Amino acid sequence: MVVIVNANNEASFDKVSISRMYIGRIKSFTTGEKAIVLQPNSMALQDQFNQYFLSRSSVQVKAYWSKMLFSGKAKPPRQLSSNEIVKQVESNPFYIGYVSEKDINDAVRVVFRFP
Amino acid sequence: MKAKIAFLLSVLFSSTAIANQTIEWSGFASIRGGFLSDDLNTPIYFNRYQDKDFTLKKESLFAIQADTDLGNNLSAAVQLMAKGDNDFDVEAQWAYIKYQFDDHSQILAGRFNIPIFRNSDTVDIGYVHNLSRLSPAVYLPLDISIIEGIRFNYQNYYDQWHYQIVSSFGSWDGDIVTQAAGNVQTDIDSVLQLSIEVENDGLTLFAGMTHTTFESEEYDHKLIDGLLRQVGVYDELVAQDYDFKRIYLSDTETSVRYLMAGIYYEKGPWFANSEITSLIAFNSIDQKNEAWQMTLGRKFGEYQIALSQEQNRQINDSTSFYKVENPITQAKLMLINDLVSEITEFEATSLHFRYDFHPQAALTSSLANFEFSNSEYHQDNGEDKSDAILFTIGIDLIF
Repeated sequence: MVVIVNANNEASFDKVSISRMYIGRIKSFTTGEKAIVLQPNSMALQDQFNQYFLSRSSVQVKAYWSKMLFSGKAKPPRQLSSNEIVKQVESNPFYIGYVSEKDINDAVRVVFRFP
Repeated sequence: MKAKIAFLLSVLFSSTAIANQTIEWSGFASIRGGFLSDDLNTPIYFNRYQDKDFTLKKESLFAIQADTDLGNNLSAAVQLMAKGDNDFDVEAQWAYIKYQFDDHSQILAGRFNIPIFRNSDTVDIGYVHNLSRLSPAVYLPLDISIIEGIRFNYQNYYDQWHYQIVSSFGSWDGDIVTQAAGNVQTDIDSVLQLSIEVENDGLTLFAGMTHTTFESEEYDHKLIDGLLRQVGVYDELVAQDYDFKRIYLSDTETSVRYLMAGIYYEKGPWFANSEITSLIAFNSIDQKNEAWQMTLGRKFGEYQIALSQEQNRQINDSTSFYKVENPITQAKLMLINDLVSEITEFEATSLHFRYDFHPQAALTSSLANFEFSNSEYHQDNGEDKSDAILFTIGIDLIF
């Protein structure tokens, strides 16, 4: 699986910064541009991502985001299909998403690979 | 005020500007019921389970939230809730406009919850908590945690530590539920809240303080005067030119202070947390209330069990309203003080169970043994009861 951004996005990424983006605590790229976080609607992909980056089950992450949403602090990442994530990231420098490596093309930049 | 807020939001969400934006819908619900091992003459804690009859009305609720992004870092949200203990009447629980200054700071204006205690702003969302029910010793139904005003949130990192600060200012008006006199109309003109939470690698530390005024003619003249008359001391106090400011809550010198602190730790499948809270209305009949809870739990895949211990108690010597020259009057006032101190006190041990049978829904159950300080106050068919067992079962979900 890979974390992808727009090909023109020159920000730097590591596991910690990606984790923090996906729990709503960092809302910008290192370049200062606004970051809009996308996640696939496949539960299997979410499980894999949540375990690797957040060391949490998807139920725990859902509980965390419900707490944030219903207490007015932040909104969870938008959920889209893998194809839609790739399309959005291709066309918009503000987006970051994760998908299976087989779903990407040359128009996006891979910033992190994870098992 | 609730009606005004609801009207304001119906106008806001039906306006042309909003109609052109995307409205995102979400919500949560709890269908939870329970029963006690005894038929008590008073509920085990404010407005909750009282007898052997299974009821879904005490803790069931439904809520729906609409969020819309207005652009330029501005957004609006409204949350409507129907609670079983309010006959499922729909009320605007939350209604606010939010402005995001930058990555770290945001401000909310409108009607919203504040974290008087750590989970006071999410107390109704059963799905998000590890326990099947939050500790009633700490989280007694506390309607004043929903205020109208402004709230400032700040979050950032210091090295590996994430910290967040919440500060709120506003007012509250509505009915406060009391054990002795039912609902009493109350106005709180000034609520000032500040809390901080720091977190790193599964360890969370939190603390906070809330300070409020208190104005309730009903509380003073229906509840307190009623109590004084019941003990036969009211006329004596009037005759002795007693300064009733020492006993009433609606006085400029009376302020109410809430404190909370605690710790949450999670490592692998294990989790533990503890919190301690206190509440005091200074210069009044109201005694300092202290509560604590400790929990240890473990996850087994989709299953989870937890054991918790909690206590709620009144600090008998935290007031001095009973110190008068006449020894007979003083004895009667001390009787009131002792009575007030024991009415709501309890200690409980609870076993909690949770099964995440669906990505957005959990089956939860709890078995709790309550021990009362005042067995006389909790009677079953005329017999004093020093304890009772509470069983609850329910489904919590989000959508």
